[in-house]
Amino acid sequence: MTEPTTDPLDLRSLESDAPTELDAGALFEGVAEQVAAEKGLAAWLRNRATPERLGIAIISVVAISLLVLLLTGRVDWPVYPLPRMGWMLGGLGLLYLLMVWIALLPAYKPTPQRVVIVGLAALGLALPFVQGLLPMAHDLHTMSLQGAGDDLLSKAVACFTFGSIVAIPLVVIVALLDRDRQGSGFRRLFTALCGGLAGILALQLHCPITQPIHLIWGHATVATGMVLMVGLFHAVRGVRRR
Amino acid sequence: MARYVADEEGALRALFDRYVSLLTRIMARGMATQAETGDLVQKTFLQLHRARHDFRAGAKLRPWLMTIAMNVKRQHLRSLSRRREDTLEPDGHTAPVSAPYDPEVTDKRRRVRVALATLSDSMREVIELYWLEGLSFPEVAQIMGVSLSAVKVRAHRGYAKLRAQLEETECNPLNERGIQESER
Repeated sequence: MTEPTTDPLDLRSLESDAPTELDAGALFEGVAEQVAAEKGLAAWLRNRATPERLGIAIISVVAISLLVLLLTGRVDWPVYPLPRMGWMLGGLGLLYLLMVWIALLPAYKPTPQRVVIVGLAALGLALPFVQGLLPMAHDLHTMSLQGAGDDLLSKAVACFTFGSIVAIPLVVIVALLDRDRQGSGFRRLFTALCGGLAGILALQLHCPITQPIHLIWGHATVATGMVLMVGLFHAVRGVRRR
Repeated sequence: MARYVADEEGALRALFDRYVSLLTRIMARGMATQAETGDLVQKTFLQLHRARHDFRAGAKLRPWLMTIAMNVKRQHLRSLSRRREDTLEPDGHTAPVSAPYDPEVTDKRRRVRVALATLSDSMREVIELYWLEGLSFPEVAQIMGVSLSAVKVRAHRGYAKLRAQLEETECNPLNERGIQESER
């Protein structure tokens, strides 16, 4: 493999006398101050090793899902096809893992290429819609048939609200685990998607309605809603800072 | 780094002393002020501190640190460019602030910096890491998270673009050897 042995562009000679000398003492004091300021719960969370941070994010979504299942689990469990439930939850769960991996990607890993970021974000936003568009899982429970007529809006708003309530704490947890608090745009996007997918996962365990139109308007929109909410939050914060 | 992870006293200072020049050089390129450069160097060390428990004993620290630095710099440049688009401020980030005055060198340096600034992020980074920092192609590939062949292609195209830019401004410190070196 070729090693750089010469500088035919003569760029290094131009660089060598470039004015890059800073006051190293003052610079180190600044670094030491910032390092010393890494205290408190938020600092403790983001200073964990990456496997631990991922573990916390995964345990959080599992804990919230179990809580939803135990407290407000869906009433049509006995008639819901188990394989369908398995791959609905599995798909959302795998997507959550992927999103959280990107959201918490350590700074010593190269930033993924734009095409990868766009592709994964599109997948995160689209999969819930694709799941919602599938034929009804069953029509064997009276509550499963609701939400497609006059009550479309009210049921959809109720589920969107429920999903968002679950999603917001997850967004906060993942944001606290992120080491780059001033985060780049793609980290914020995937943090929002983590929350949104957690909300949809919770809805899958809670809501007995199987009508595709309800799943699209009330469930799948939670991820999109979270992305918009997080985007709006950062936009407002940015304007205030200026 | 292992000493730092073990919270040994003085380890942060030792790490800082060892890498501050390298980081300052990397960050200074394309920055308008030394304060800006200093901020980015500090941010890099802070990110290193936060990631210290991920470091595996025996691993090489330099590629690790350089990847952090390139990510921090890229993010900063993008936010600057967004801010400029929002406020329609003129671009003030292509020339160094306080170069010692030597008309010929200063002018040559300015032209090269302007030409570098016209390259895409990925091409400019390859040229900075390979030619200016003297890293090998495999190291550059590791830092940028792309294949070896992609790095070589970017180096080749980057040189070609730089040469074209400099020919346009009638200052051409490049020659065919540069292209040939990057092609190997």
